[in-house]
Amino acid sequence: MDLAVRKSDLSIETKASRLAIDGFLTSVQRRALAMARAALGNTDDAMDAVQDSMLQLVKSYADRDVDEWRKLFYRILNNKINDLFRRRKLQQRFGGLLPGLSYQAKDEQNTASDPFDRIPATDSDPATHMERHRTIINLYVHISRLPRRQRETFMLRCWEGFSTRETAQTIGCSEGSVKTHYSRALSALRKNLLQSDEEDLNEF
Amino acid sequence: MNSKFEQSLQSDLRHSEQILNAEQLQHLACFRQQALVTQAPRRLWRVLWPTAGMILASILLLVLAMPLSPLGPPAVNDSVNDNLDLYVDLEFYYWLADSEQDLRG
Repeated sequence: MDLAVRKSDLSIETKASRLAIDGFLTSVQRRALAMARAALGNTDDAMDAVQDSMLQLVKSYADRDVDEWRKLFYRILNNKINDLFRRRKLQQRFGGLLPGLSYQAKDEQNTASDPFDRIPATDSDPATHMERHRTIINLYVHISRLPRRQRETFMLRCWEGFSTRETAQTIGCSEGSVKTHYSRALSALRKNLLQSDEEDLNEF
Repeated sequence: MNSKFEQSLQSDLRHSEQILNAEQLQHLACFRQQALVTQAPRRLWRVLWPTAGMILASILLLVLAMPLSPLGPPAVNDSVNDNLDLYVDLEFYYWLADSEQDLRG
């Protein structure tokens, strides 16, 4: 009897924890994918990064406090993104030497089928939709060109809305560094976005 | 989040999260289920390269670190030297045998 009760308690606890972690993953999945896509400029790699992050969070940190999950998840995601950047560098450097390692073809395929092109308009005005669409693509391009620390800081501070302290804990540096990186990232984005707007106007 | 610029960036970025098609959403749901049900599925090529590298490195290390057996060849040389000594001093051994026989005889 006692054992049966304990077993059912355990099962309820497991179910509750599964529900909690499923709820958490559902709440972060869209943003995680968008962040990875902005950083990597490639939906397939972004999917890989998100999948690996979800698996690692559940495998290694499911027993941690629920409040810690968000920071842990974004730390894992950042590491996965950096791993993919490193792998991409290796592929670019040695891709010509080893068959099947060339990254060029994959990139070209992805630019040919930009996922944004398949999305139906959500804004009522098509011109507004197009304008926002263009801004987002521009923004993604410039985010992916930021140096690593600036990109991480920007995504966590501005996009996810972490405080300076939370960002520092997540990426593992001091609060002072976070402030510096964030301010530099904002300046770079402001400058680059303005510049690309001017280029567009000139083309027009 | 202070400036208008930051707010505008955040708004655009959060809007971009909604830009997902049905296929991508389905993938995300699958990833969630996989994470909850199974352990990390290992993509073969990701495991294969490091494993192959490790094996190759171990073999190289073994080959480089393996000492040339110090006992093998010298042992052969010793026995050859002994035999040579025997042949060089053969006359002496014949004489010894003869003198032993003489003593007994």
